[in-house]
Amino acid sequence: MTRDRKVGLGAMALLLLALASYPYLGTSGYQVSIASTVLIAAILASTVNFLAADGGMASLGHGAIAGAAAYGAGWASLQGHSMATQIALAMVVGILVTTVYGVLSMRTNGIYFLMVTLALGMVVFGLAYRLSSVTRGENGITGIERPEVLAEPWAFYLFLVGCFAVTTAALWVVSRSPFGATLRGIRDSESRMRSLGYYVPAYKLGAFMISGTIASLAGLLAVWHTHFVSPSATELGRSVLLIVMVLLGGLGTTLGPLVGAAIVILVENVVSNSVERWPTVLGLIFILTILFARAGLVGSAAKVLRRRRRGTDAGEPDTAEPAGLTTTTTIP
Amino acid sequence: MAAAVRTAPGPRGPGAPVLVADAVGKRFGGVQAVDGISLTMAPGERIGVIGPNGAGKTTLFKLLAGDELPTAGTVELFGQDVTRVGTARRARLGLGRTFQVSNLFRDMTVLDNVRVAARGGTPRARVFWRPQRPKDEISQRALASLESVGLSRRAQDTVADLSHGEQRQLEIAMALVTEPEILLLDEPAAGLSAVERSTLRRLIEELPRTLPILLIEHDMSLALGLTDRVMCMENGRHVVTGTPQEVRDNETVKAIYLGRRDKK
Repeated sequence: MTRDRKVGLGAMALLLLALASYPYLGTSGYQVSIASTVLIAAILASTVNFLAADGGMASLGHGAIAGAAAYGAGWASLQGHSMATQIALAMVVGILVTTVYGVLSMRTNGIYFLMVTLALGMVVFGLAYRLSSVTRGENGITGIERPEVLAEPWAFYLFLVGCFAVTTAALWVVSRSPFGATLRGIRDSESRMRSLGYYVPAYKLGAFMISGTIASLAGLLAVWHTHFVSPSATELGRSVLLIVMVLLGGLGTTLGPLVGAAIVILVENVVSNSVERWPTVLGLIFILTILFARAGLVGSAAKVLRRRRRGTDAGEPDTAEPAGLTTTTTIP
Repeated sequence: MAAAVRTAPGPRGPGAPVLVADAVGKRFGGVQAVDGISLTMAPGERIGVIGPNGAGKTTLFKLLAGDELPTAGTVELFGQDVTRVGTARRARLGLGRTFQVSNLFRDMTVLDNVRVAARGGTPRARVFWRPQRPKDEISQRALASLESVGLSRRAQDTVADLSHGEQRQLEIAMALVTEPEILLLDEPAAGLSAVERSTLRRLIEELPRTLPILLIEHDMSLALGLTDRVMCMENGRHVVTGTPQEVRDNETVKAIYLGRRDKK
């Protein structure tokens, strides 16, 4: 095991320990609730991070996938189905929507992929609004319960820490697998991968399915947290914020989505209590990060640490382009 | 050669041509980039395609590799009609190729580039539940391929750290590790220094004689020195085909390259 790998695993173990001990540090119920929101957002952002960093596919539709899964659980709850059915329906609806996204977008890349996922997200949002016999339209579905064993906020929070650890580890393993290397090859050069015998759309679909399945889980966790789902859960703004989280934390970093999610959720829920124009604050943070730490906060910190270890501290702002999020616009 | 990447090969007999292009043409709007080119490659044969800039060499290469579909004519690979078949399927049939403009995986190590190539489109590339193994058969093949092109000492470097000439060597290592049954080289010497060109020439010369090679090259001396038969193109059309000596002595070829066409 390399030194970098050991440091990374050690940092992750410490972080998980800190996260797990958070409810026992005299924190209020509100603080635990905010931390739960951060963890759910981090799980969702990590799926966008995986797809963008390894596959070069920046999705504007993951908010809608999670929202669709939340509606699956909500509808099952509305019909009085059991908890197992609610969970199953949430995952089935989320994966079905993911499949539609994946099949329609797997032959696209760059800006075209972005637009396809945006358009499909708008379709899901439209259905959430208009298909009121299922979704209850603008009012949304309320009273969605989570399993009894997770009824206590601290129990649910610890469950979320576990979900975050498992999903992060799963995406880490996939990213370092031969499949992950294939995705990075596709990200860098689809034409070369085709010339090596790879059927590129199938791999892109596979990556989307992995990402969308975990996004569906995040949608279920979100609806368990808020007990409520409405069309706003599927709106474009949620998906845009996911990309902001990824870029703030650091594209392609393991902990970046958590850091990005923490910043966005804290600004949205805490700073907004004292600053009316909190989106401006978020925008400023984003611009400053892009200008002075283009690899994101985690990515840039890791780079600085690596440079220091090599004894070549450049002392300049990090403006290097991170891998992934290709701007190549090959016609599909 | 192992046939790990192959799928349902077409009818192949001893001595049967490996690649046949029959009157292939490609029109882009009002421009006829390739016009009725025919070409037959025998097993183990090395063919060079030369011509000045704009002759249509690269378009012909793309038609043979599957990057572009022809607007006229047919292409057969190992006896199978692949005229409308895409690049990935042609690769699985045994066609290996290099790229004129380098599009290597720049953030990966040299070894990882070759490992991705070695897995091709096989089920090994779909393993997502465990990390890549540094000592598995794929890695061994990748290292052997790097050794064969003289790049094994750079295995752990990233592609961005390689010189232009080393990137060309890596291109060939990636093509060879797929164990191709025919190799297409698209202007491999483009942009190389004299020393790098000499290294590349030696590398191509040392490839197994049983491997058929189609070499598209602007540099006439390189193409003539490495091939058994040479075709010269101009303005998308066939000019002459012959042995390197015949092409070298051909007055039309001289005129094309030296710009001294006789006026009648």
